[in-house]
Amino acid sequence: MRQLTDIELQEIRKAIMRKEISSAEILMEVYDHYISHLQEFPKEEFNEQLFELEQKFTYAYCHALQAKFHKNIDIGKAQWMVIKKYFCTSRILFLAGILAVVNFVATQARTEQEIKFLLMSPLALLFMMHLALGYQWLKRILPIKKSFKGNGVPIKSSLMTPLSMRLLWPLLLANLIFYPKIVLENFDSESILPAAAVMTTVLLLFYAISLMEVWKIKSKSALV
Amino acid sequence: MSNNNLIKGSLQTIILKLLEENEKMYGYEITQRVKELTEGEIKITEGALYPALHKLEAEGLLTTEIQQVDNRVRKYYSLTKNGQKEVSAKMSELQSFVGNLQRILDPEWKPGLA
Repeated sequence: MRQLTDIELQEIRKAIMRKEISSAEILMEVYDHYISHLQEFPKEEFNEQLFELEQKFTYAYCHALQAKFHKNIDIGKAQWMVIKKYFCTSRILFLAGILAVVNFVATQARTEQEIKFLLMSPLALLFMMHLALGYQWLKRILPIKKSFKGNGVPIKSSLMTPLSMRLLWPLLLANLIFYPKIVLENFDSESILPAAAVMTTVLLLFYAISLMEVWKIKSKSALV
Repeated sequence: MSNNNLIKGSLQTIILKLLEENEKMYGYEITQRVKELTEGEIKITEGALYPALHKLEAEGLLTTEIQQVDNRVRKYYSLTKNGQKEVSAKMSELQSFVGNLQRILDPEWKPGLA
């Protein structure tokens, strides 16, 4: 095994960039395969071996691989698995604790604004998580983007969009909290607000925690 | 023997078995290990390997972990608990198939005979 020269590494990157792979995970797997293979051969055989790899990792093959990889990503399924595992005794107690605290806060709240503030807390958590996800993703993806500068398509983690969407869609609920009368005509918020607030807050907290677990698991295997 | 069609049906079992013996492996390492074990007789093509690895990962039989190696990211595959259970099932399935194939090819053949 030998160390490849900078020129050889540049050659590899150029060859891979021509495939216009957008998934950072697929891109890095192909790049690692190329380097691992080419390191096994002497300098004189570099071009011949690179050509052989190019015959195997064609544009069509890489795109089919990427499409299948995207198709297999199911954040919802992963979240459901986490939730199922989550229901051990200690966590049920933890959840019961949260429920009790939220219920206490909701009954203590005197104004509608205070209840709305309670409802906003899990949404704020989700928003913070989205910011953290963006930061972590940038930290991990920037070196790759730098190496593959000039790639035909923008490089991003295959998990970034599905995870980001899962984090963002509950934020739409903020509209329902602040403008209930626009969404639901003749809505009498006073009567059901405390109970709805407790229920929604607990559900959203549970959703946010399970999504955080999924992110933690996925961050080990993907660039998010 | 380098008939890819014959290997295709056993590829998942080969991957699972190798990962049972080696805690974690990356794609290129798997191809090299198969080549080494079969003295170059069986070559796993990259065209079949990566889709198989991704499928096993999606089915929850494999888990992955990314690690920084030199100036690049390497994806390691390892067995999940379900994957560990699946290895023995897949192995007996393959062994039974090979036994039956042997019986077809050589009706005189008895298991245990060289």
